[in-house]
Amino acid sequence: MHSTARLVFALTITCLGSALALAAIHGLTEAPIQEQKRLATMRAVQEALPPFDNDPVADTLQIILEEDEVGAEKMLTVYLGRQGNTITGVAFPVFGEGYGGLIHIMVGINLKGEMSGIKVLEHLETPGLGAKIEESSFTDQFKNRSLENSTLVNGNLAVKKDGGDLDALTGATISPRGMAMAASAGLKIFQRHGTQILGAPQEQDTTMTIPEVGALEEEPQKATED
Amino acid sequence: MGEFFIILISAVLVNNFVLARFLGICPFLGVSKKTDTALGMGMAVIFVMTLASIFTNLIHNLVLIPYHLEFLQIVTFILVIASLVQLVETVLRKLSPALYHALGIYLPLITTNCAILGLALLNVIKQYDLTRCIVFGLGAGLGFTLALLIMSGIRERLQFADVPKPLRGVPITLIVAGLLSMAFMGFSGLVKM
Amino acid sequence: MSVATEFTKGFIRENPLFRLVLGMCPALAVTTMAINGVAMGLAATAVLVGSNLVISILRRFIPSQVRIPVFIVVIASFVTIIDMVMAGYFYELHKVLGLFIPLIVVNCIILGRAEAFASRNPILLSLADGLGMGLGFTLALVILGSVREILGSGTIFGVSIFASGFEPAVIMLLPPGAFLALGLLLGLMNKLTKAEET
Repeated sequence: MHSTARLVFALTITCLGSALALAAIHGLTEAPIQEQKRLATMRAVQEALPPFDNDPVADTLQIILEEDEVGAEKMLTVYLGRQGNTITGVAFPVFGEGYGGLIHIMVGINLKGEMSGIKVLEHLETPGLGAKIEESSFTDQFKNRSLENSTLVNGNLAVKKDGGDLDALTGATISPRGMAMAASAGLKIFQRHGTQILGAPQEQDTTMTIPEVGALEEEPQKATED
Repeated sequence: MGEFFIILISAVLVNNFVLARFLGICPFLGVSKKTDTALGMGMAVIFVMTLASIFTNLIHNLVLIPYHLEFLQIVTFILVIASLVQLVETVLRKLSPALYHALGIYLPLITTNCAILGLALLNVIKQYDLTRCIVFGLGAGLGFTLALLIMSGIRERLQFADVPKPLRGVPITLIVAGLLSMAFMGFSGLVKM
Repeated sequence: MSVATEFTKGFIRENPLFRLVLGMCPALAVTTMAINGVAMGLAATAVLVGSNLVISILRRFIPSQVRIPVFIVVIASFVTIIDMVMAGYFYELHKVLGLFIPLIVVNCIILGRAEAFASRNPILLSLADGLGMGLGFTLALVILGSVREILGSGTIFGVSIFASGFEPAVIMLLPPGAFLALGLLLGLMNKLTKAEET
């Protein structure tokens, strides 16, 4: 009775049954899982963006970063916040090096190039110390900051200890440093790709740059006319 | 090259599988009574971890992702690990009886070592390519062995210590592990990820 | 052997964590907060009940030579189901427990109960055993989680219990605190049950 065939049969049936059951459950749970992911992104985007009335999670734009840009995925998804039809701000995920690993945040930036809000997505910082970067008492200090209105160290936002003007946390300097890095990365990406992102409705980058050049040429003409 | 070194050091010291990630606690408590058995177990784990890293990476990238079967990840990984352990056991017995005798008795225990499955899953989460998987697997194994060896050294001494009765056995081992883990925390911040 | 005794043995007498010292990895890793202990414990309980049930039903049809692989496949399937359900309906908890949900597969408690109990006992008893052992594990995780949360953050289930002057001992939330707390709890357990043993 205990032939090899019987053993193989028993194992095959088990695996088959397991695969079928899992496929069925996967089919049932896939939609809720996607929905949960969407909601989680939505919550982060909501906290980061200035007021909007569209659905930023569905209103996205892919931009490709250049080799020398750090702190974000090379294929970056940008969430657009609009009021009416005009873009009020953008949000996208960036990261910086913390104490226990990478700190991922969603950074929201308004049209003035200031941060409208940030939300920590994922981190591996020490509970009770570095993990306090999640709390709004810490993240609020990023609001309304831009590369222009903050003290920069080597072109980046920095904590006070490094000569910048961001407050650190008691007992943790490296985690806030990572946050400063991530936020700076976000601001710089916006600085470089802002026009490309804001020209989103026009679909093509080339059609975007041409009118801009034209606008620049027109202005001096107007001045001479006056 | 530098990045591989960082992955290795980080897996051995900074995020030690046993002392910082709590993976592989059962064998860590079970086979750390003597230094030589600890070494044997450690070697077997290094071996299987490196192989498991390779195979699970290949299966994930060549089978699960192309056919959208990611939901079978847990089942396939654990089967791969179990078969791998079986295979290693059979091959070792044929090819190198000496090595088989040294590692043999530890091999069956490895299937249920959560460090191996944990490693396979971490490889996927960290999106490591094949070479990084191998380095990470090697580092994880080395880190496990290091923790096991230190622990066994301490436990050999501990036998002569006057431990309060209720704490004898597992409790004192856990407390020692806590102190070790505290020492390993000194490594955090050693490398930047 | 009644359903009631099989159900209650897991709470204290054969508590998987405190008495049998099984399932250490998740016990140490996720118990920084009491609520995580509840979630991890219940996830493991669901897997345990499911796998005990299926294995008990199939026990006459599984050839003994391949029983361990069959058990592992059954357990891994239930773990995947729990993983998917949690990701779909309890997103935040799923994120906190992370890697340790899939690792329920290699939790020695589950395979141990399959091998030692469900493969030899009828369905009802196996269900009682799985449920009891799972709840016992949950209880142990909640105790460990509470101790670490109270000492490490000064809260219990997220509710602050100390006056503002209390300075929490962060070490309890870190890996060393996990080992120390479980070691001391096991010692305490040994001390309390010593009379029973001898």
